[in-house]
Amino acid sequence: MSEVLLETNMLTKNYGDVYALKDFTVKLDCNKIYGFLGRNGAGKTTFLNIVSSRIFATDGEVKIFGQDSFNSQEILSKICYMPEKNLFIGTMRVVEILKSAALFYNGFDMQYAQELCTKFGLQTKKKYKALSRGYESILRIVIGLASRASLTIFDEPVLGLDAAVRDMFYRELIEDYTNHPRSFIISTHLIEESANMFEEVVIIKEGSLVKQLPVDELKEMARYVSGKAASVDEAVAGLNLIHSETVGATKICAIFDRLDDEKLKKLTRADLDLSPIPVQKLFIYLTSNN
Amino acid sequence: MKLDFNDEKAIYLQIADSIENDIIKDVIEEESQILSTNQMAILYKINPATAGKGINMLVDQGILYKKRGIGMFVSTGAKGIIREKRKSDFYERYIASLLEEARNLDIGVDELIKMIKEGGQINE
Amino acid sequence: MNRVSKCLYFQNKNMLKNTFLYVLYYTLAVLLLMLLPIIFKGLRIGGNAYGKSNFYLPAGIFTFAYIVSTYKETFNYLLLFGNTRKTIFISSIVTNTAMSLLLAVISLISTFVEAPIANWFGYDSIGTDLLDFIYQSNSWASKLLFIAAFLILLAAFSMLYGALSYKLGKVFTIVFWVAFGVAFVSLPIVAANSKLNFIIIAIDLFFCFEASNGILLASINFILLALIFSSLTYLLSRRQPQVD
Repeated sequence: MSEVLLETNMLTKNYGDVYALKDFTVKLDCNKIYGFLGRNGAGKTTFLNIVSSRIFATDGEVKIFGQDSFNSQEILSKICYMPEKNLFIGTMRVVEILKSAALFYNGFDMQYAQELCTKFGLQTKKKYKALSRGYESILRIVIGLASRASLTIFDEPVLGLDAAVRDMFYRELIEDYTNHPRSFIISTHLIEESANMFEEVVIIKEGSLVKQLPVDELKEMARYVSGKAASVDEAVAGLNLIHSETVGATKICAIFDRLDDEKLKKLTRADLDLSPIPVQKLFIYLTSNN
Repeated sequence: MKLDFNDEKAIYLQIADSIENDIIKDVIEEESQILSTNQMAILYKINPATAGKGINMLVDQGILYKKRGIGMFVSTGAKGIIREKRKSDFYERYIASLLEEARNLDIGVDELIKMIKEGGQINE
Repeated sequence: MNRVSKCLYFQNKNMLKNTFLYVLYYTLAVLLLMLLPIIFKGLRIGGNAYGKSNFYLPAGIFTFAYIVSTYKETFNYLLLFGNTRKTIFISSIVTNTAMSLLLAVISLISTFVEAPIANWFGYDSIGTDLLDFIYQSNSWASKLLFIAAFLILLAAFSMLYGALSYKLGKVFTIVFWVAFGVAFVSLPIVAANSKLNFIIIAIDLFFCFEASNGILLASINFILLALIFSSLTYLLSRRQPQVD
């Protein structure tokens, strides 16, 4: 049985009339890799900032490892949060920052951190302010992975990294996760390449929770149904429609619903074409206004 | 094994399929060990839970079994189980769509049988 | 090691390094100044007199500058590594107090050490200790206490300044320095104006200029005011959201 990692209840953050998070209620289990997916400005960073006590919610509550996390040093000591923003001290050298990480995170593995620096080509003698954007991301990756914190959170970890380096990150993430199981929350907008990492995804749109589901359901529940307009409309009646467009005489609908054998049979007709929806497109449909 | 995330089939099913293919083709022999969930996860850069789901499905179907403390092994008779399973899938997967496509092209059943016989002779 | 100790380790390491460097540069600068007339023999204007350096004044400037300039980056850095605001506050107070005490001790040492060194360079040491000028009957212990209390007050003020600046941003900085400048410039006007006499009386009472043992009473006032500033800082920072 999984323990509960994190629970929020009606979590809300607003700046006057602008709601960054609205009634956000979610429950996550321990020792899974979660993907937080959403467009830019959807509220992912706001959520993570509240969870890690960087900012405070306007309403609602957050419990981490079963306890109220606000200003709890005991809980915060178990969390490593590597945000998108640059918050390291510019005049410090990389190796000194790593030593700070070793100081503050109980389980920090300095040897592993050094190995990662070598693998990613991060020069430890360099001052933080001299690092390029890509290497700033790499430093955050190194610290996040080597911290071995019970809850490790990455906010957009691969910004500024080329495809080869991103691939290295995914590989290191999986390898370290399998060897040292712990909870990960990774927020990203690069859904296509990172979906394989996740066990479950949480999809956020405009401050609200759209869906929380295991990753394989993203495919199992999603289909394009295309054909003559009348046939398509008949087949998709009663199903969750997330997108539709008409190209000439053909109508293409995207549905996202639990497809049992009965429903599937209704869709498998001679005059209809069923095809999978590419993850990227599915993500766009789920996070757009229809 | 190449995983295609954009394929209609879920990743864990692709993994199960791929292991089955290797067993049928004798690439992996019965009673031999296969990669563990973790090894597979690292190799293909997927979440171990996904790899585990595929493997567990095969364990449930009797195709694989777990030796405690050692790893995952192919069961004796796994080939037979897979063949049986695939035979019942065969009609759905191949025959049904073959018939439909033939219908679309106005190919009658007799003509279809003639084509199959010719194809079978070439392969012998 | 609990979290406060870890923060203390980090903050004190930086504090000691910077304080050491500052004292080093200051000492070298002073030595250089002493050497100049000797090197350029013709440069001696007037007699060979050396005035007391009153190190605690530049130490005070350093205290303010150091705490204010490192407030934001330290707060953000420690918060990033999962320290609570309470932990950061406690660690900062202790570090800053330690710095004040350290500088106070160095000030005291300098008062004993500068005369012999100046003499060795060939100067006659004259010049009064500012404190002897302001207060009556001062032992070195009471001077040490005064300087320590003064620097602690300055440190507490600097922390409050840092917290307000972090919260309010550039607006605060501008408003503060404009108000400071205005107050500074208008002090003589205030002094001359009998209607605003209460301001002068308040300053007098706070610094205990007239009292015997004024130096000790003033120290107590400094500590009390420092406690008030620190409490305000705590209230400001305990729910301070992170500012990039």
